[in-house]
Amino acid sequence: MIEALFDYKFLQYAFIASLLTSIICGIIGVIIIEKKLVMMSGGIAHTSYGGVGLGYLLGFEPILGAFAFSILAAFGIGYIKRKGGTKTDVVIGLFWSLGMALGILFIALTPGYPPDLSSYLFGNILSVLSSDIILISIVTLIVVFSILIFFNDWKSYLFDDEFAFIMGKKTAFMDYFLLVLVALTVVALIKVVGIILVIALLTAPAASAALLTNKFKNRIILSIIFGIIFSFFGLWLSYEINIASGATIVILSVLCYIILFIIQSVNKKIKGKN
Amino acid sequence: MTPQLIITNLSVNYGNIDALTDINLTINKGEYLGIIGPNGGGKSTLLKAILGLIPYQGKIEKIGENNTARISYVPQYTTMDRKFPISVLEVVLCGKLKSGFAPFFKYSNADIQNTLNILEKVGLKGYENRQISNLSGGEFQKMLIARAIVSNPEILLLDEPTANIDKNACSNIYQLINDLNKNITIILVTHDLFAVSENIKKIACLNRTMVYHGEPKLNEEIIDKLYGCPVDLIAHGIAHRVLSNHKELQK
Repeated sequence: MIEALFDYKFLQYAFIASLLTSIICGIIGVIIIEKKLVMMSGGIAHTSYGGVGLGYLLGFEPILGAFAFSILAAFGIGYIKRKGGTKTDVVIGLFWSLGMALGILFIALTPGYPPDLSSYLFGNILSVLSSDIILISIVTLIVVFSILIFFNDWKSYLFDDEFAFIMGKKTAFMDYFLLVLVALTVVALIKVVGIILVIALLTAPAASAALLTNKFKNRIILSIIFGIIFSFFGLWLSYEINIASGATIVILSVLCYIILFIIQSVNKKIKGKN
Repeated sequence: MTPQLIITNLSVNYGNIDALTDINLTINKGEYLGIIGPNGGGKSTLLKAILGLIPYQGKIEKIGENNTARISYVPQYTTMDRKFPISVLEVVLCGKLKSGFAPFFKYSNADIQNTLNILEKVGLKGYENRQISNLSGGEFQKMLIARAIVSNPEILLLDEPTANIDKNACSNIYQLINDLNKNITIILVTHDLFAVSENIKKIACLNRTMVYHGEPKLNEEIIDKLYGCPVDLIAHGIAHRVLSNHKELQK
């Protein structure tokens, strides 16, 4: 495969894309797990499907539609979360199903041969284009810098947003900004792993890292490393035995989490007995 | 007696439910006010309104030495995420955050030194590098108090600081709050009526509206009045306890 990597541009793109994706997911994944925003991220991801459909129907780049829809979903869900409180999960469910339904409807209305949607649902990292690399690079830069530059603010906000507010932090802005970052992440990931598998890539590396360290910074770093290992190994495996790359990466990540979880549980039991 | 906090005609509602109606309360500088009342009586709501965390009608004036008083808060520790990956020092340093957007903000050495001193003051010396998931309830509570002190407040609000904490740690925490009261105005929400009779100089009984505000010596006349009021919902046991404590004092 190493030789093929030098020969084929699409493989190089695939590796660059998965490297950048691992960085985004490592950072955002740790944050959404701590802030309990995993389902909300799932809602945003699935709502974006409506945008993909609209793009096909009206003839513009589907990823732009996905971007618009996921930003709208982020603001919609964020607003209702701030206002309503307990009804958030209901609203997520509504956005989730509405987005999917609109996507399917728009595509059905699109004249001519139906476009290949499975690449948006399940992703195809081997079909990543140079324009996708540019998009993912921009999102990576935005995510990395907005988290790094305000790292201490984010940490205090994630631990206790009420206290951060009392200290004069703009926590309402941070609420929305975080959801926008999630929306950007989703858009960047759609081409790589697809809408359905976005959640797994956001959660599995971060959750695995959470089993191993209880320091915030280390958790992010470890989560990025896990992401890189999972996606490189998954890519290699899918290339060697010719299976779907996105699915392989996700199955590997979840398997790794389960194995780590079992090892840790067993360890705890042994320690408890001693 | 200079007023520190003046609350005028404060009302808070959640949808159709009136959580608080028409609260009028003046708290003087250096006061130690205990707020008691039944669950759902609006105690935490009052604290959150004072902090500006929730919308309200009416007026809340925080009068400090220069303009608005610096205010800080010790939340109910049971509502916090105790598994969050953060160390004691990092939590307490949050009291040194700059307000607004502060790009590339780093805590200074002076901040860290001051924080370590305050950790020592609350009895958490040597705990600074521990992760919060390894703290007991009492230690966690002390850490939250330390975080509030670090922000150098003129008014300190505490929400049930001794709920679910063992007796030893409790008296520790009350001792600490007493010490803080020398320089800071304190408002404490509590179920612990022992704390009320021992340390607190004034109490406010809250059940959606202010039922009683004054000295913590509940004589029988006031108890009668309280029983006529919605406050008797608190639990009879607790109300009796205040009364009997008081009787013992009189003997």
